Amino acid sequence: MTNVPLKLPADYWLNFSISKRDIEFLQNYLFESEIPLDESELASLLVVERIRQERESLLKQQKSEGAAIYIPKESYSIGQKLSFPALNWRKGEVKSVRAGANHQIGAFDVLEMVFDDGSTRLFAAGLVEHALNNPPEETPDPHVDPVQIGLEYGENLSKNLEMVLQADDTLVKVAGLWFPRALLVDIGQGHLNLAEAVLEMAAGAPLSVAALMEQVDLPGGVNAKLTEFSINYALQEDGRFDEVGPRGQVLWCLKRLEPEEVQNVPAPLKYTPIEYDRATLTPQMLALEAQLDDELSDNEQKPLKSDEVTLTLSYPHWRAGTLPVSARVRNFFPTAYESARVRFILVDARTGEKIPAWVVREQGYVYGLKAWFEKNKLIPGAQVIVRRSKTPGEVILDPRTHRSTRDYVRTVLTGSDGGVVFALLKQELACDFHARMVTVVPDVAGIDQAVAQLARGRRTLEQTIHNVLQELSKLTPQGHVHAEELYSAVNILRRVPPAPLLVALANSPDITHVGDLYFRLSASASEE
Amino acid sequence: MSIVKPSLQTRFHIDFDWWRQNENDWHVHLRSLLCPEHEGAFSGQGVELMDFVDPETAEVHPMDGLQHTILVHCARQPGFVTAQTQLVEAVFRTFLANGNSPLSPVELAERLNRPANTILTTLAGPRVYRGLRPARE
Repeated sequence: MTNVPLKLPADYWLNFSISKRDIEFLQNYLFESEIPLDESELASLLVVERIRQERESLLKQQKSEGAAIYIPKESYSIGQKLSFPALNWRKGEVKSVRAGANHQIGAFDVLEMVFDDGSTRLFAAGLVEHALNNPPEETPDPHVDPVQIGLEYGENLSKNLEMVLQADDTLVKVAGLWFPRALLVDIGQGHLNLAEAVLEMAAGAPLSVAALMEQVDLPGGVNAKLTEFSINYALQEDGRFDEVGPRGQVLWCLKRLEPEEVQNVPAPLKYTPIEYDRATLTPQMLALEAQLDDELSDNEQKPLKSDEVTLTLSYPHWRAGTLPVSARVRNFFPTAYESARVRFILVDARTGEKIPAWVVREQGYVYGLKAWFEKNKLIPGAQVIVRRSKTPGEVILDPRTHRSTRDYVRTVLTGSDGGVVFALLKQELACDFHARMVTVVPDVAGIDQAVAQLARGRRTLEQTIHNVLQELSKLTPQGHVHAEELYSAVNILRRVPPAPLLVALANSPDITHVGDLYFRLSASASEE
Repeated sequence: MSIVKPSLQTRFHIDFDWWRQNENDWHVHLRSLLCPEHEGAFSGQGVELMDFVDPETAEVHPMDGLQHTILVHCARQPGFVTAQTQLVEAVFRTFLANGNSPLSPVELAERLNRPANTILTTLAGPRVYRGLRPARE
């Protein structure tokens, strides 16, 4: 039989809608295979199945219309209906047959075909040598190639499938994997209490389900994968437990043993959203926003593909012992299918020390570095290299420290009245830093007090910017301050991402942009 | 024939019926296209009718032996179409060489290295050159 070349419309996968039949197919597949699968695996299966269905339907259509597929080597008789693959499956009926006249080819017949539109054309039959006698393999149509479809539409298909599966009560999802609810092994309250005790003994260190299963007496005689999935599901549904493994790894922890700063955003990182008009941002401002790696920035930067990135520590992150997970550096840190918090290991590039850390995905920060910052004598504005590791679940950190030197750098001082002053003072420096972002903070408690006082006073962002700009202006002869310096200094007193700050700078009547993102207070404002 | 104005995507071919109806020197012109090997083979009049079988679709086009020989042999010889061949003649010869499979001005432009718009303007004008007309799809 001729291989039917399937052609699907160009927008078939773009406008793909998942039917009840598709879901039934996936349910049956999961039932039969007894292997939990994620959305992308299920979407791949669905693509292959849909192509099979479409091909089957095309074949049925060809058969139901009673037309034989035209092949030049075959013989046909008057009245026979034929379908022509080379003419986009046009159908016609043999009206007459005569002998062909071509001594170079030899004996063959000529069919007079009448097509559905009434037109008449002649075709050869009984022709031994012709390309259509042995049709070449179907030319790969990208719309019927599962690999190509996966590359082009896979993400979209997986998202759509996830939405549909979530509305299906017969399936459950654990750590990104779907499985039929009916096949789950019953995990009782006693088993869960035992699991809690085991995790408590681990003192906050996450454990794999395999490690838990070793110590919890589970029902025997069941497929081990099924038992593992069932216990994962039972733990997920119990509020005491938290799944904290990176993508592809299921690790469990007790919620109450997780650090407070992982459960709730640390105070220095807390931001009260400010409304602003992004259209005000110039291309230069947008470029600066992208460069600053602020996790609160609402830009659409693509994650970096390189193996390392240099991050500059802002004061809020230095104070909280965290690193920002900006759009640019997102794929350097482990992610997860569902877990809001992912536990992983940071490795000191110089000492090899392993530091347990957490990615708090939604709020965009990595927690667990306070002691490491102190140990390496890092200051706000210090530069840290983040490097990918070949070991899964690990990320390498290089502090870029060096022997101490003394130099003049911007320093923030606090008065007993809660006031803040910036000055250039000689400080001991033991790390590389960003010249515009650096600020030494000798009195952290004093700053905490100033921050609290500022919050109580309900000062606007514009007022804070005005005051900080006035202070920083005193440090240069021209009184010009770069937006980066302002961003760094304002964030000591209140958390604000670059965009609202830059918009406030652009809109303030008292502030003049002198070029290249340098700003100064207008003469009247600076005299106030 | 379609009254829709031809575009760069409209596919043209040689309408042999047009030749028979409009050009008395049809055979004279075709003979001038014979390769040296076949020049002597068609010296007399009254050439036999032959069925040309399309190599891609197996559609049969009855034509005289002279036309058939040019189509299956002479038109496939090197130098049949060169950069110096005049545009209309080059298009005509291209169709002879490919078995008269319809081609659009864009496709012809790729083969002949001439601007597609120039080809379209020439073929879509009020005068029919060498029987080059839009193909029936």
